[in-house]
Amino acid sequence: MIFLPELILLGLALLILTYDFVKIIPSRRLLVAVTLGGLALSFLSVFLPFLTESASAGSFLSNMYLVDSFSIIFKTLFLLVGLLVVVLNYDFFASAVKKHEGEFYFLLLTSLLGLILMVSSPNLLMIYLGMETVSFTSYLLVGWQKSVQRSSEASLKYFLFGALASAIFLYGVSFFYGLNGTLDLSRVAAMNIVSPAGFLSILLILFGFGFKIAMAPMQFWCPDVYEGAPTPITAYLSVAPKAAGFAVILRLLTLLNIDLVTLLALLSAVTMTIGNLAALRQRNIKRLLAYSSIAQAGYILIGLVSPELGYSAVIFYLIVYTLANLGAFAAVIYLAEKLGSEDIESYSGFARRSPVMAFAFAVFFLSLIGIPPLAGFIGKFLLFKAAVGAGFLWLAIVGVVNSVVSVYYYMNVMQIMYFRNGDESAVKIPAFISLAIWVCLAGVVALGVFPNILF
Amino acid sequence: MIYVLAAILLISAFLTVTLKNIFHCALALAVALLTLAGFYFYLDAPFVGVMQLIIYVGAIMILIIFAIMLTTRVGDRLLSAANHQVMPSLLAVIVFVLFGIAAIRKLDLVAKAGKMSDPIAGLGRELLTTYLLPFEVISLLLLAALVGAVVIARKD
Repeated sequence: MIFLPELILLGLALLILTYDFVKIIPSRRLLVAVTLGGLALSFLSVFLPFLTESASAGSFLSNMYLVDSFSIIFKTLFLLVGLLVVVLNYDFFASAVKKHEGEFYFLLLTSLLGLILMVSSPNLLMIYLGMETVSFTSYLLVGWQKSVQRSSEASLKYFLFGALASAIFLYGVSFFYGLNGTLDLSRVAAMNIVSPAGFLSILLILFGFGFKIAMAPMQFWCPDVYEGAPTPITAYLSVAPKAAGFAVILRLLTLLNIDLVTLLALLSAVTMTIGNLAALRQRNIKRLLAYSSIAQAGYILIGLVSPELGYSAVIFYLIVYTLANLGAFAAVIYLAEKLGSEDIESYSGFARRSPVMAFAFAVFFLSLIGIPPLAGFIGKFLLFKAAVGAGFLWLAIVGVVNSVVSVYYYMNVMQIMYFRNGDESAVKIPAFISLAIWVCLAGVVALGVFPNILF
Repeated sequence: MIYVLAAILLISAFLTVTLKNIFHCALALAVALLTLAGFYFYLDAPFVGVMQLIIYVGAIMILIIFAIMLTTRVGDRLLSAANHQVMPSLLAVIVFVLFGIAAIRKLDLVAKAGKMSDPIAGLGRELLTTYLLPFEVISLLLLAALVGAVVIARKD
């Protein structure tokens, strides 16, 4: 009962792999339907313990696996992302990738399981294995469009950077083990990070995860990989591993009880400034969203400076960011298919062709900027408030200035959609894409108006 | 003894990245991996040492050498593996080494692991008790990597 969501996910992944192998009834629709059904089942089973009121929290398998409210929040988020990505992938795959769909979903589901393992363990070994499961599957999924050179190039780049990040992380872990004699974070009462070895250990571990969340100075892979990957996978990479990386950093900070606020504040300021400044010059929408996601990682890092207020703000903002970013990518997938281009200029006058789509796009961008009454505003407000509360007024100011800078590039896309002239024939939005957009839209607006439903 | 091993390891690792002939690079890498196995034996971890010999020196090196022999001819045009970023990388290495020395010099390593009377049996027991979950997760990871690698490498 306790491991039901994980077991359903694992069973589903193996089922999809076998189905693709045997193909008794070769049907794309059936494959996607089974994937979606299984994911939905796994998603619902996360809430099962709440209904039966059975005791389900605790640690299992020699403290390798934790079930607590923290991991349940992230599990829910990842499974939701999984559902939305499969939905987004349906039309995209038919038109752009076409081949090996069963293996594609198998890897996606394995990747989701890796994310869940990553956030559910207090043991660095399990965290590493979860991270590698996510990484390996991501490298492969990024390169899935073999006929597209950019896709293969992105995959190779991601792999090389990822291998480096893993090595850095493991080096830090080896120091950690040498100092503490255990890999279990919960068994280390208080870690001495004033000693050079302790500091080096935590620094290397942090940078290893910095790769996953695209934190400076580990952000170089981001634009190329986002541009080259199949767009649903870009959407997935921009939200899920990022959330998992933040979850692990939160766990590290709370379990080890260490004080890294000055370092994190600096990294946060640098990350958001790099992301925003680079985004200003982008002409390709996927590259723009890549730099935007680096900047967003910078905002989220702000919350880490304040354990009291910031940690819950980080989780809130991660959820909001996930919904807004997935929504924006849903629109990008649709537009790329309709217009045959990922160039921002090609969006000219799209608002007249599909007012609903343009409006949804605008709402997601406004939420990423942080305009009330959308959820992005509440999220940013909580993050900045946490920074001020922890005595980092300068960081809050840097954050606000960066948000103002970001208005330019987000608004530029909207301005092109709304105020330029282009083709005016009306278009129809496929059901799956519009379903994903409506779900994200509902989430972004609802969390903006009633943020209390999460707390 | 350990300083001799360390010297051999550093020199062979340096040669691996600086030699121009890729076959010579592979040989230097083999020496580096062998020396690393020597480290494990020296540090009282014979099981890890044997594994290093079997997996890295035995299997992976052979694969690398096969790959080189199948793709290039020894004595083909020589490509330098280095780029022109010598100064920045030198700077990074120096900073990192200095920091590393500072970190290790005052290091008070905890020897909590203790010595096992029968390391291999103990390892087996640990793998199927304490480390059961990681052990199982690795199999999933390998399955995913294998399936993905086949799809990526296959000709459509």
